[in-house]
Amino acid sequence: MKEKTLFVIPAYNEEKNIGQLLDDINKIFPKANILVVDDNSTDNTKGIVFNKNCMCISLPFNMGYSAAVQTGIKYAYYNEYDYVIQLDGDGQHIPKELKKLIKAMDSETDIVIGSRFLEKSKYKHPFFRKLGTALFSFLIKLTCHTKITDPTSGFQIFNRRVINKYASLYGYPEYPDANLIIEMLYDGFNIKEASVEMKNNNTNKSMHSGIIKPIKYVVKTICSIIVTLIINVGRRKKK
Amino acid sequence: MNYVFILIGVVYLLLVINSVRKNEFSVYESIFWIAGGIIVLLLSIFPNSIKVIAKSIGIDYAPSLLFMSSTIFLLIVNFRCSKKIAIQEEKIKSLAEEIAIIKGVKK
Repeated sequence: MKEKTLFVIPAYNEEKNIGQLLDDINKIFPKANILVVDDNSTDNTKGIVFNKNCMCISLPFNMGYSAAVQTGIKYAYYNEYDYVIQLDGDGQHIPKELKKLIKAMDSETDIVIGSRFLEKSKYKHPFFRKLGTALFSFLIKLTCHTKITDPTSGFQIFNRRVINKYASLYGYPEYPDANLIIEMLYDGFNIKEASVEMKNNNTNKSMHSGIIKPIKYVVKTICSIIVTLIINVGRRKKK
Repeated sequence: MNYVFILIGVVYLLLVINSVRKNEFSVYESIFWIAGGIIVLLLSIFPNSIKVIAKSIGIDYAPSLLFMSSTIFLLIVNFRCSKKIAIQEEKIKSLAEEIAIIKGVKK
């Protein structure tokens, strides 16, 4: 890809994983513009990013995953990047798999989501999250008649149109998942999936670990799907 | 007339006026709370007025009018607060993101 592409990596206390991830990306894409958005980590995440010679933005206080992602997208917006590649700082997403996403990206497509479930993969999904994923997938199918197998995936690449939209989006959701996909589909954006492998989280402190957190996450996402549907009521998919 | 309630009404109104004087409310907000305070005071001075009003709008049990109106009052207050908080939350988030970007990228 000749166009300007920015890697956006939200990271919160990822000193164990971020170094390896940045090394991997640099190995495969030697001239990549990598921006790590440090969500006010209390560990040495920032220091490691500096050592790896990557760009780093620090949020003034801990604002959560979505704000970190949106900050990166805003940066891409202000600096006129053509594409943003978004991947998580916990090392769950494998940079090698990015080639599949980039391959799937064409002029017709606005967003390519890396999906763990498009084909059978080795990824072991905890039960609750499996349930959530299936539910969100179903809701997207129900409301937008589009099949998205892995709506919770934060492994994405999207183009300038989407960057513009996300950067100026009022109320970028706390969990930018199915709700955001539904909104984008309603807005006439083309979303495609590419099958990728993902690692199971190696440190086991994912932002959705435990029992309470996933439930909260599912409930909150359903709430925001409902709100998205209310906002978009009467609006037809512009396709 | 119940002096305890009058006392409560007066104290409440004084609290509100004191807060307004210290600029703790915005202009519109202060009118809102002063109006609330005056109503509380008036009702405690003329408790019979509730009965009259209740009867005139067809409520048999006068205190329920009181409960209903206070619930509505609180609902409105809460509704406005909730709305304001949400808007401010979004603005703060947006500001923090912009600040982070302005503060800059370190390489």
